[in-house]
Amino acid sequence: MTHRAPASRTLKVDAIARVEGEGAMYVDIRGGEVHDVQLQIYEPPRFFEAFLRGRRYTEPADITARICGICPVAYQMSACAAIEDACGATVDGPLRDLRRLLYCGEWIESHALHVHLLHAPDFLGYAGAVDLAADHADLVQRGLDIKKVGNQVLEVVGGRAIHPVNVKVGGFYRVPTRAELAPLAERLRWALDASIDVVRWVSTFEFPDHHHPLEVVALRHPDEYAVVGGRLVSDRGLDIVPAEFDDHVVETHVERSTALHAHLVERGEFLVGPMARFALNRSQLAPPALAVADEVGLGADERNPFRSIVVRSVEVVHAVAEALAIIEAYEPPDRPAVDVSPRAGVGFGWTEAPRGTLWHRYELDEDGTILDARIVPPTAQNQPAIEHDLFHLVADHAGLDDAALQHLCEQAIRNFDPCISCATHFLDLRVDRS
Amino acid sequence: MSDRRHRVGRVPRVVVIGVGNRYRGDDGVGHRVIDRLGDEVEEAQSQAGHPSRPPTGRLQGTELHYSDGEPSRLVEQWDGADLAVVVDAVATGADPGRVVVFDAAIDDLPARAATSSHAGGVGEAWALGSALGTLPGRLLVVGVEAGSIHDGEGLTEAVYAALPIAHRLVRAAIATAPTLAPHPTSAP
Repeated sequence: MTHRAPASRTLKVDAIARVEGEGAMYVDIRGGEVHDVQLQIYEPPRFFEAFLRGRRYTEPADITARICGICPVAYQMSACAAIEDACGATVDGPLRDLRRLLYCGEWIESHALHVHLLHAPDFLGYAGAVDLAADHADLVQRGLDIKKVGNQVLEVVGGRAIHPVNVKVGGFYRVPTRAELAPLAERLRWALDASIDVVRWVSTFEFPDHHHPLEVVALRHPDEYAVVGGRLVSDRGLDIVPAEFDDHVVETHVERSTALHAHLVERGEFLVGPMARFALNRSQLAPPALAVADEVGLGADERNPFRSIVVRSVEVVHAVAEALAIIEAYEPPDRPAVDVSPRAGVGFGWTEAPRGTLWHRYELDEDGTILDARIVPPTAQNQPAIEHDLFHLVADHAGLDDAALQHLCEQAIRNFDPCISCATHFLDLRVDRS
Repeated sequence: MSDRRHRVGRVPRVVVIGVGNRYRGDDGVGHRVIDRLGDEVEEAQSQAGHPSRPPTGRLQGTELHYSDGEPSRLVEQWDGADLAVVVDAVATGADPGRVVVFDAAIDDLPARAATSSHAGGVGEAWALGSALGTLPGRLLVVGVEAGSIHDGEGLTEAVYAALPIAHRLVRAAIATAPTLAPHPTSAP
């Protein structure tokens, strides 16, 4: 229920919980009108870009994995893709399939974590996962068990669950045998049924009506729901290759944040991540994911960010089914990696991290020393989109009292699952109504 | 036929988890302790059962994990353990490098020092594990007071000097893990 708002007011929130990181938010309301919304982010990846200069071309896969404990594979895969591009190498066949399998593990883990521990409490009236678990231990435990299956994929293919150590430029240090993957298939079969039930469960939540859509941007691949390659496309005509990213996406410094703000040239804010992928590539989902999306009435035109929890859950089903299909068709490659010899040049690579497109660029000298590195994580790309969304959300609900408005803003931020360790840390919220 | 292990007592499952990020200054102290233990566990495993070698305590069966402190991952890593020892950088206001052992059954667990993206860490993991009924038999936290959590590798002087103390405390905790009562045997 809303009530009449004072002409101007200030609201400050010192910490928003259940986001993957740290940052701050400022809302300025004057005369009952929203004047400004700013998301303030402190961004460690910029340190990593500097840290990579002077390192060997073989090192980013391990170093960038440390940027985030939730999406290390995304950093490894984008780094490898960019360096292989610079060196003129191609990784395909079973090695590419293994990379997709590893990535499936990360999607399962990351999405299951967000859906169950970070996002679901918002819709069920709980302060957090601990309170939710106290009343619904079975539901939380199911989520953690699904997440664990993702961890197990990372352990078997990547060497360990956090910061996998088995990835290298050109492929892997060691590839699994069919026998080693067999137990994973057993667990994935359980996870397929369980994750379909999760979609049915979250689709019953009550969602605020909220639609202020932006241009949606994601990778698209002709043969698959794009994860490890493809062209970057949008619903408004964008269609580019990795080397063109700089021509179409500009990053600008803003005083309030150490994260750069990304905009599409002459078009403005855009959205990457599950909602964008689903909107653009829904028809390429694995059959069980497509079937359950149909069952719960989730169409490609879905743009309500509060329903991103349903989209994320459908992507878990997809990742589980995809992982199963890869394992069932798996024939170990002849060698664990293709040779990648350094050469002077610039390379570009992108993949779909759980939270959206992650772009890397490396400049190498002839010996393979990194002269320059650039990383554009999805949360930095989504930062203006989150501000756009919050601006409209606050405008639509300016009559709420401060506590209710704060809670709604926190929920709205969590809709985007900002991996702020990729782009920031914790979130403070301040609403200025002066 | 009964299992001999059941008659002589069960070896406890011991898990040691180093929490942190080695690219954030003193937040890397937990991982550094695990690095050191990793060499010792490997050596203990190679010596296990060799009559001329000194006893290796519980080391040969100890599981080691690196963690970023994300609570659900901690719950998963210590699930089923009789003893879990977590090594982490903490911020209690003490002098940098001070090492304190917290027993989760008795003490309030300390705040993490790092500006972790997955804040909450061991305290939230304990609460989550408690709600889910997946706590270890005993949880000890070896906390090292951080001096700086700057971007980049390397510990501050005070925390570097505390590394051997933290390591010895973890070794002591592992060595004193009690042999547990035998599993109840099934009725014939």
